[in-house]
Formats: sequence, C-alpha cells, structure tokens
Amino acid sequence: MMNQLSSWQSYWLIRSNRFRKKRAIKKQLVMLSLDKTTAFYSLIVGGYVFASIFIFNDFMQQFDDYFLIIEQQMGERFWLILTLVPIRYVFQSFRNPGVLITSSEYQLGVLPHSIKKIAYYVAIEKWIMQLVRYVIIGTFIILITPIDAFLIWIYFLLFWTIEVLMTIPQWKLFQAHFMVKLVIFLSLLLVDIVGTIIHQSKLISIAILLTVLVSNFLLRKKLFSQIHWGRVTEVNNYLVWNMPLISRATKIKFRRERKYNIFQNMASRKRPFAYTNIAIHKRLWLQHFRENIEFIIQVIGGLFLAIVILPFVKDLIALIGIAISIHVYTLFAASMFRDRFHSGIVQVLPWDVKSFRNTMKHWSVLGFIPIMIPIIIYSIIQFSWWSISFLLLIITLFIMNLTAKMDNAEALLDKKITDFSVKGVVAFLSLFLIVLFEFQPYISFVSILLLAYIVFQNYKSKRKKHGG
Amino acid sequence: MNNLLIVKNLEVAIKENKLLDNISFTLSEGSVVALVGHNGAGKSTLMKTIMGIQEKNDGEIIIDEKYNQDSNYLDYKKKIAFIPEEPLLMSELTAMQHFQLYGKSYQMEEDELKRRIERYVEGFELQGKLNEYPESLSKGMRQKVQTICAMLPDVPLLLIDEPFMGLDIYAVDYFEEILREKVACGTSILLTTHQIKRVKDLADHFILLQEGEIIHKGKIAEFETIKRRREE
Repeated sequence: MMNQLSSWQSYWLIRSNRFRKKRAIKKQLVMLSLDKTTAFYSLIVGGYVFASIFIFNDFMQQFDDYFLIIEQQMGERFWLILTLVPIRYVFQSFRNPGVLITSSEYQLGVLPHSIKKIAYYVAIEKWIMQLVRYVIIGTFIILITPIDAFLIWIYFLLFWTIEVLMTIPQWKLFQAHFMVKLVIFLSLLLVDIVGTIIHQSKLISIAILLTVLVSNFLLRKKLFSQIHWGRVTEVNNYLVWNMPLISRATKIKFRRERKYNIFQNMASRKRPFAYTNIAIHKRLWLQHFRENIEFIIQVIGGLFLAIVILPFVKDLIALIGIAISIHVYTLFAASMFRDRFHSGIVQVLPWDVKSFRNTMKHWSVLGFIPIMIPIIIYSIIQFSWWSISFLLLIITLFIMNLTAKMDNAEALLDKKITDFSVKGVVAFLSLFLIVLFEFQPYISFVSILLLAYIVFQNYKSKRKKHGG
Repeated sequence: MNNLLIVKNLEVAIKENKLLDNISFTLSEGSVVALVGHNGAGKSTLMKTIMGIQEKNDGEIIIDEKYNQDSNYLDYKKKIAFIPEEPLLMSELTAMQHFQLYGKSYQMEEDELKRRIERYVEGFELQGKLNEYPESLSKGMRQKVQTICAMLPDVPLLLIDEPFMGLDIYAVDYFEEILREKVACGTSILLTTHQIKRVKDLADHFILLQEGEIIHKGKIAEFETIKRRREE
C-alpha cells in the first residue's frame, strides 16, 4: 500500500514544482534573449562594473554625507515610520490577501488535507522568506553604507515584526467590504497626520501597535470563517503567474480571471446598453482600466511623484522631468489604447478604431490631471505671470504628443506603418521647448504656432475623411 | 466560383520552431472546408493566423481578392466572424450586452439585431438568460452565447474552431441548420473538427494538417481517416 503524503509534503510538492516551472520559464526567456557567448561576456562586463564601483573604487564614499542625513532621519523619525508601516498592509488589503493561497493550494483542501493547515504553512513560509530577504538586504546595506548597523537591524526587525503581525488583519480585511477597508485606511492616515502635527508619533505608534496585537487576538478564532476563496485564489493565481518580463518577451499576457467585481451585482449594470458606441465602449474602457489598474496607478503615481520631487533638485531637472512626463504619459495612453484591441473578445471583432479613440479621449485627459496639478503649482511658484504662457505651452505639447502617438497607434492597429512616424518625431522634439523655457520664457509663445499646427492637422484629417 | 479566401505560402514560427509551414489553399464563395488533423497539428494556429490574432512570419492572406491582411487589416476584419474553441466572453458583460457589442462592431441596424437575437435565443433555448453574466451560465450555455454572437452578422467568411464542442444534441442540430442557411446565402466556412462524421454532410472539402503542414486535401467524400500517431 502506498503511504499517503502528509499535508506538509503535499504542500512542498506544489511549491517545489512551481519553483521548477518558473525557473524553466525564466531559463527559456534567457535562452530566447541571450546566447551563451553573449551571456558570458555580459557576465564579465557586469562583474567588472560591479567591482569597479563597489570594490576597487570608493564610489560610495562620495555619498557618505547623504547616508549620514538618512541615518539621522532614521533615528529621529523612528516612531513616525512605525505608525506608517501598518498602513501599507491595510492599503494592500484592497487587492491582495497577503497569504499566497492559489488554486493549487486550494485544491489540496479538496484532497484529504486541511486548508487551514496549508494556510498556516503558506504564512510561515512567507515569514521565513521575508526574514531571509531582510537579512540579505540588511547585510548588503551595512556592507556598502556607513549607516549604523544596529539602527539598520532595528528597522528590519521592526519591518519583519509588523509583517508577521499584519498577516491576520490583512487577510481578514481583504474579505471585508470596500467601505470597511476605506474607513480603516483613512482613519489610520488621519491619526498619523494628527500625531505628526501634535508631535505625538510615539504615542500614536504604541496605540496602533496595541490595536494590531488586540485585533490579532480577536481575529484568531475567525480566521477561516466567511472567506471568499474564489477571490483569494483569483488574485493569488495572478500574483504568482504574472511575470512581466516573460509577458513582454513572449507577447503573451497572463490576464487575471476577474470573475468577481464589486459592480457586477448592480442591476443597472445588467441592463442592455443604449445601442450606441459611446455606451458600449465606455464599459469596455472601464473594464480595461480596471484590469490594468495597478499599472495605471504606478505610471501616473510615479510621474506625479517625480514632478513633486524634481523641483527640489534643480529647476532645469524639473523642466526636463516635466517634458519626459508628457512623453511617458502620452506613450502610456497610446499603449493602453492599443492594448484594448488585443485582449478578450475585442481581439476577434472588427474595430471601429476612430470611435474607440473618441470614447477614450476624455479618459486620457482625466489621467493627465494628477500629473498636471504639481506642474501648475510649480509653475505658479516659479514663473509667476509667465506661468500662464508656460501652462499653455504644456497643454499644447500634451495635445500634440497625445495626438501624434494616438495617430501612430491607430495606424499600427491597421498594420499600416511601423513604430516610427514623422509627426511623432516632431511632437517629441517639440518637448525640448519646455527645457528652453528656463533660459528664454518668450519661447512659450511658440505654443500659439503649435496650436495653429494642431488645428491645421485636424482640419486636414477631417477633409481627408470627408474626401475619402 | 470566385475565391473568397486565399492563403498563400503561410509560415508561422516561434524562433526556430515552425508551427505552420508553407500553407496554401483557397476557399471559394459558399463553400465549407473542414480542417482536420491530430491535436497540435496546427488547426487552431491556422484559424488564429487568419483572424490576425497570431502573427505570421511569411505569406499572404487575402479575402475577396482586395482585402489583404497586411495592408487593409481593419476592413479585412469586418469580413470575418470567428467562433473560438473556448468562449472568449467577458465577465463584465451579460449575454445581451455581448450581442450588442457584436451588433455594433459589425455595424448592424438595431432592429435587425433584435430580430436575430430573438430568433437565435429561442433556437438555442437561452430564453431568460439574456441578462446573465457568463459566470452564471453553464459551459454549454456560454458556448451557445459565443455561437450566437458570431451568427448575428452577415459576413462572407465564418471561422469556427470545433463547432459542436460543448453543445447539446438539439443545439448541434439547430446550429447545423443555421450554418446551412448561411452557406446558401453565400457565406464560406472554414472549420476545424475532430468529429469528421458530423461535418461530412456539411463540408465540401477537407484539408489534412500534420505538424503544421498540409499533407492532403480534397473532396470530403474522399476523406478516409486520420492515422493514429503511432502508426505513422
């Protein structure tokens, strides 16, 4: 008679096979991108660069002053940081249960194994892996920076303890209603802000820590009651198998199944559409944005932060940052536009590209608003009355770049051209006007000419359309 | 009869691995061709390549002599309706909303769309399911929704990957009836199948694929059987 595998052995079988499969996929990617000779030389060049920066030269020494400032801040802001770390897990609970139970682990629960036991294994493995990760990162930081080792270990111990203590709250919060999560998230933020203003971060952090401890104690008996396993496995499957580098190389995306969404039960969403492109496309765009929400937040949030931070570095750098932001955002919007046609049922349908483009227009503008806000604030502080013409230049260049990239995307969808277009190059080069504004504000008046160019282009394309 | 679909020297490969090699055939107006072959012979890849979902490395695909996939893709797409092997329905749309999406994509008039939906929904016994999301439907029902979607527009070319997969016997009979109607109106059909007996009355010709190459083609009456892999 064969011995039955224990729960741990079964779980480990899944984990090791997953690891092997992922390793095989990554190996295939490396084989696809590099041959043995290139890989060998890349390794030598990489090793040489690493050695020349970190070993043979005192490259890091020139940053010593910065590290000392960081060390000082780490000491002074310890309690504030302690209050902020748990918020990260509450924020994550909107989309991630924190315990990686995929459909494979869940299947073990169907076999003669307890899903509770498996969940504990997953959590313990997560804690151990995180501890190992922190030890490696901590050691690396201690080796290359002059920051006090004791302080670094205290911080990593703090991060790890909170990681462990927030596992249960995040798991349970993931199951909770959206409003519950939102209220807890906003309350924590508010408490934090108040604590900072009244200089009571220490008190606040102790209170938060106690609350986390109590919630762990209270929730321990209800860990597995009212769990929406479908949602848990849906999210975790995506987290485990979504490998961005692989997707980019193979052009095959791992898409989230998205069987569950908070709007699906609304009766109004089930009603037939008004039979118009606007009504139908609106739903398709919303679905597409929801599917890519992490990516959207990363891009827009990243550009927003860059524009907020760069003016503190240097004005010229800030202007270069703004120019790059317009380029990156418009490129991103055009790429989102094209991607809509290559996913789900839309890929097998005829495409009314013009209509799709019209219905996406206001979303593209809406997405640029968070990037525009810090630009407006910066320009008012920096350029006073000149800010009006500066902002006009920014808006013009945004429209110009968006139009050029969307035209290009439209042509690519029709397999008409390659990734290169003259209009795109002109739009890209015009972004240098933003940098030139630092030296000569009168340059912003060029925006009037550019606006005339945009109007002319629109007129030309409309005439062509009517003519055709 | 005019050639509706021309596939010339088609090649699809991933790196050195050729999925389709030197595929050439034509499909005349109002004809039905069955693509047959073992699992992994390249049938679905060929379908996807004709649809434009799968990039080709070489060759030409032309519909109606003037719609070339490489130079006139958006117009080319309007000429095809596709039923994939696995339904591609979206979780966010109900069955009715899927029909509307198809109607609008193929620029159908609303009244005509409603008439056809009513007819097909009754034929496939999907009454009462129109406002349901795909997750609330059984696999067979999802397949029916996907099938109706592709049947709604009048297009010159229908691509069907495993037409009867997941359908009950009544639905299969009804589907065959609609396909015959479509063919009578001049629609050409390219379908893949493992149930060669089922399509023998429907198809005129067959194309036998093996490891990405056409090894035999001819009239359906001449088709005998596919050899087992281990006999080859």
